[in-house]
Amino acid sequence: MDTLTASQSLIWFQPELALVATIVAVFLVDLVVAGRAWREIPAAVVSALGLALVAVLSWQQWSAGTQSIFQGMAAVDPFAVFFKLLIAAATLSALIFLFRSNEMIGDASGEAYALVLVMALCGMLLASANNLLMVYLALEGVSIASYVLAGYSRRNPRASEAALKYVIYGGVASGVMLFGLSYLYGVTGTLDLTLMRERLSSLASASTGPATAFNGVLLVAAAFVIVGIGYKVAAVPFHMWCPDVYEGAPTPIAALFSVVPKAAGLAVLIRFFYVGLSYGTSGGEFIAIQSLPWVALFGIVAAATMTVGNFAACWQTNLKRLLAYSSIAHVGYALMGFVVLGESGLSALLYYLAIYAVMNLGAFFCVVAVRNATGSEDLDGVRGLGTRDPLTAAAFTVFLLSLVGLPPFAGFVGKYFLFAAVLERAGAWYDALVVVAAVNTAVSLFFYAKILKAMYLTKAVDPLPIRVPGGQLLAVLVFAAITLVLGFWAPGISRVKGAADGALVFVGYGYRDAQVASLADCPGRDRNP
Amino acid sequence: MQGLADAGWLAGLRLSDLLFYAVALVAVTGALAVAFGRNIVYSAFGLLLALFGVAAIYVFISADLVAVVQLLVYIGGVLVLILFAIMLTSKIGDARRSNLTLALVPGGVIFLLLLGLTVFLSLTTPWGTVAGRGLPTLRDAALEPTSERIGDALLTDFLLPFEIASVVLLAALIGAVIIARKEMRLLTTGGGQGNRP
Repeated sequence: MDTLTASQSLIWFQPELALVATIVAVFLVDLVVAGRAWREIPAAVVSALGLALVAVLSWQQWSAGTQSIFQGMAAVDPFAVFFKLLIAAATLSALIFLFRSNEMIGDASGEAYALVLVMALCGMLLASANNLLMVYLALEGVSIASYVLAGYSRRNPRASEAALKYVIYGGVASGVMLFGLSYLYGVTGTLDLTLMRERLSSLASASTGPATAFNGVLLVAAAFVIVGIGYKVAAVPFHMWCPDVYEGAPTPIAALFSVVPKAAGLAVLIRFFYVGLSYGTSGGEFIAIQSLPWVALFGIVAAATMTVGNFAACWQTNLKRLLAYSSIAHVGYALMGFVVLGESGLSALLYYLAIYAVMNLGAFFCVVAVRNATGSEDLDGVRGLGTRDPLTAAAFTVFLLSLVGLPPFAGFVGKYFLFAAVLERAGAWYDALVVVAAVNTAVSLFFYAKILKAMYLTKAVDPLPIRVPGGQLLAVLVFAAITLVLGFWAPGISRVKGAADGALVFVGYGYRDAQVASLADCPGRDRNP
Repeated sequence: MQGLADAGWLAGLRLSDLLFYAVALVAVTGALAVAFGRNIVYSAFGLLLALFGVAAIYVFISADLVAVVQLLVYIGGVLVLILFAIMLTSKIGDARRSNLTLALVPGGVIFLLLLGLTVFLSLTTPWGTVAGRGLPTLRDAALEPTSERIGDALLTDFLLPFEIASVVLLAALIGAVIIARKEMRLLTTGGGQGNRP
């Protein structure tokens, strides 16, 4: 596959160009209307229109095939497009709740929209980055926008603390990751992921002595990259910032944090490890380069992530902290698909991510609605919600049961695919991972049920009915409908699953065409034409 | 380093090697001073040493443009800004740590493990042999100007990162303004809530 030069690449870069133009437009529009009472409206409208355009342009790329653009810096392939659409849709829906949010600084809201768009842009670039430099730059872009947004809320005394913690953790994590990337560059002499795999495949044949001499440095580099990206997706040893940041950040922003950086982080994790550090075989399975045990690292991380996330959530009374731990746990579930080293696992991961985005955003949006109406984001705030606002309470119930993974809801189907993918692989470790996940699912029922109990079985402190603004209520109900429909409507499920399957096409990685019969053939395999 | 100091290794030393070790010593000393300096002003000057040492190492690997940029931007700009910030902050000496747990033992263990790991890896890995032509080593790096090639590369191969960096920097710039403005407003309105360290 040829890589295009800069000027030829632009036509493949339309979604990102549109998003950059939107960002600049939001800044400029905000300057023009500065000081007016209605200054938030133009910024919100421009952002929403821009994001809709981005989604349409990304959609057109879905069937356009694969292309490596800007000298191999970024990839346009179904995998990237899947994440671009996910990020654009998540950001667009979060705008509904960002609009007129009383948690933001009143007269700085235009910049907030632009920063949200920067986060979306860098998330999209992260999903399509095919070069270590772009990976790092996009990761920093997501981080910088997140740092500012985390500290945005003026009334919350925890906001500055959250932002500061986020910055310090983020600085350390990205420094460690950068050091790991420098190891990879030192070994392979390239930043391009495709080229990197090609060179790593020829380790044994090079005049370097045994290829095992590289195992140590490659494993440490992989571990350091896991630190950097694991921090971004809040996987367990690097999750400490997550509850504090979600609690301190404005709730619509916390909702975005739980989807956009995590999706982008998982995307870059998949591209880095599957495109850079493994071979594909024609049977839809992957083999790690040098048989490096990075899969074992991820198995441990996945088990630890879901366990810590679920058990810590049991003691939370703040809804945002509870959902933060719940989102940590769900990254653990999703990582199970990563461990499988096969197409079935990756496809289950992507499916779960799409479902998770819907149900988790929905749950956060319910918290936003309750918080705006009652001023409380504690478990006490939702007491008696079943009588105060039956519609929101019903939607919240759908999201929570789906997050548990109970049958008639979308979360169950997502978990089913994940568990099935892991069980397909023979081996006691895979079985153990599924057992851990199943126990965790049971534990998670406890804390999700705590919210249900507060909503339906306890009396409200203030029994007056609350009113959620029409647009927000509509969005919550639409999300709940999707969660419900994707739980049992087979054509819908197979359509999303088909998209997840179809998304497993990477630039410069033609494992589908490869006729690789055995492991012995792998190291000599050429870059796909 | 003493462990390696057998006769053959010593005999192979050139003047440039000695210079390199001197420069590396400056950089490491500076970094240590940053980390362990009790006075924040000393730490800032330690940073000066560390950044200068790194700039000198860039010269060693024939990266002249990067060395100059390091001098201009980091030492000339960032460091001076840091010093200004320290000098202009009133009562900076009175700052108290609210969290007194230092975790010296676990921190020390992790430090020693990482140190051993990185030293071991840097000595045992056959660096740069995979790429075919190998990476340039300190000794054969020819001193030739690189600015033209870097300029070319920035506008051809690395155009996308170059442009995206501007978006990221724009976000950082505006973010800094937002955060600073918020602090100012808190001060003028009496400063109570939201101003926790």
